[in-house]
Amino acid sequence: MNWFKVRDLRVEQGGFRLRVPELDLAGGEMVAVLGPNGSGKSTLLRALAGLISYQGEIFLAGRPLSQVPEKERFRLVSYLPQSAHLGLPFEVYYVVLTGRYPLLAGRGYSASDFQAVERLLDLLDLVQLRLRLFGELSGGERQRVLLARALAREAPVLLLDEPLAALDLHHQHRIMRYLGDYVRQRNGLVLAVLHDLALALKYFRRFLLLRRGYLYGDVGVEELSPDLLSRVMGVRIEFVPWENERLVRVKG
Amino acid sequence: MRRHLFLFGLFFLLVFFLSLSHGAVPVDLFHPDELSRRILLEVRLPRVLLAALSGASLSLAGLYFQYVMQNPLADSFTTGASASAALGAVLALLFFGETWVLPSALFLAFLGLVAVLRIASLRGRLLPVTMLLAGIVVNTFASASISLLKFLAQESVASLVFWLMGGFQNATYLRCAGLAAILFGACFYGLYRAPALDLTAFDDETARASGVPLYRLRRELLFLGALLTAVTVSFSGIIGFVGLIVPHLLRLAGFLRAEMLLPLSLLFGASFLVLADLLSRVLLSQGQELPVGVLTSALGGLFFLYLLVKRRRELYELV
Repeated sequence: MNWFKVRDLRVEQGGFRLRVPELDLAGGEMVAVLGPNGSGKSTLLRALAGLISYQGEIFLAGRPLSQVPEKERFRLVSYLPQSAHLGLPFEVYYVVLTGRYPLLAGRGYSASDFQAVERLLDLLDLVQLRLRLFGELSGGERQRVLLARALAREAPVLLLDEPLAALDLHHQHRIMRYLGDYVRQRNGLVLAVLHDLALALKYFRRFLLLRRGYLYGDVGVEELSPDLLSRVMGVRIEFVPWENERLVRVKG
Repeated sequence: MRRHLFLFGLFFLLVFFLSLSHGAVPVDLFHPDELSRRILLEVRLPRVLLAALSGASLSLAGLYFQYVMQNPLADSFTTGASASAALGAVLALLFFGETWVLPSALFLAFLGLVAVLRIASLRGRLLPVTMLLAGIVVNTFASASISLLKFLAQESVASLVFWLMGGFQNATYLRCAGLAAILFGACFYGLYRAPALDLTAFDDETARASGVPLYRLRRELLFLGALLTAVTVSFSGIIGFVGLIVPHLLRLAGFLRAEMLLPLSLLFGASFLVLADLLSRVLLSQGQELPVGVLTSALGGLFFLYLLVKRRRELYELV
């Protein structure tokens, strides 16, 4: 089953336009969205999350996106924006807990919610920070909290906008392995905007290449050539084979 | 959780009965004579009740404004809602008659709030500094208009100044009942949605992506905040800063979530104004009274100064 089916998608925001003629994203996939700044990566994620208006068609799990009620939509989809702001003081533990809001059946959070939060605090080394106020954290710590918040929902579809940008190497790789298992176990989908090509090549098998608001390429890991990447990114890139992996080098 | 509610409830009862028994004429609550009983039932009880209900209403309104404006400095006073409600009340009194006081106050309060919200919103975020500035503009304009109207209408309406200073002299049981009903409804609305209220403190995108019907929720909270403010101002005049101080102290004490903040704000806010009213009655000798609004504004001014000095980062934070 396809989690997302996109046909002739057009988004206009201010002066910016995004066009995606056709895109299918199936269960069990880890898909990286690559492209330079301002190429429409975030806009694509926002459109798929149903946060901005669009023309054309987006189907979520077989139903037109606009016909899936908000609460149900966000039970299926967890969206992590590039940055978030919190205007009132809340402690880390509660910020993560609020990620489970769409799952609420009654009036308050319950034992299963608390357990999910504990697991993620543990995964992201946030246990000691649990009672600290979100506003007092450093940038990297905040991002870990927000990532934990997005993962706490245990939604099958994860739309992650630069989830790893401010994280240290240890956490980056730990999260990528976690996401790999996550997708496999739930037949889920991870669609992540990344800037770190090495990380993308190591953990992702499919790549969406965006350039100037157009879906320039939708390729598997074998088809991702240095030539194609160079054209999209606007710098000369070459791959250097090393043991079983390919290293990315920028020439010049 | 139960324990805190119980303690705050106990504190409120203590303050409530203290306030009933003290004043220009001391009243023995347990063995009142005929005169004391009349003072108690006809003057003091409605007055203390109105003070309690006003405190609870203003605290709840402040809390709701803080969710709508996404910062802890919002309340009926700082957003200019109190002043515009007072202007509405004064306009109605001068031109349409007393029955229009409430609707007119509500309409102008809502108008002022929408203006402040529009001015302060930027790309899905609300900047506290801009909110305060816009609030000051609305406040100054409304207050100046009231002063002007007072100046023009000199003889016909002597008590216009009441709206500017605030007090509980005009308390009646009917007003108390009306305010209590609105307070009950508004409070029930929030308690029922406590987890969603907390989510409105995030930026728009994060809140919406959490499955909260953000814009509807914000509109409804804004309306309820305006309603509580308008009714309180119509009955008790402008009483500043209650909605700022009460939730802020509770947050400092570690109560951060709406499910706790809401009921505790009601109890603490009620205690706060009952105490302020008691002070305003006993501070001056020979039965003279201070306007409560003057007392809370002085106190609130100092508190605000403390916030400006201690929490500057929060205020100017633009990230």
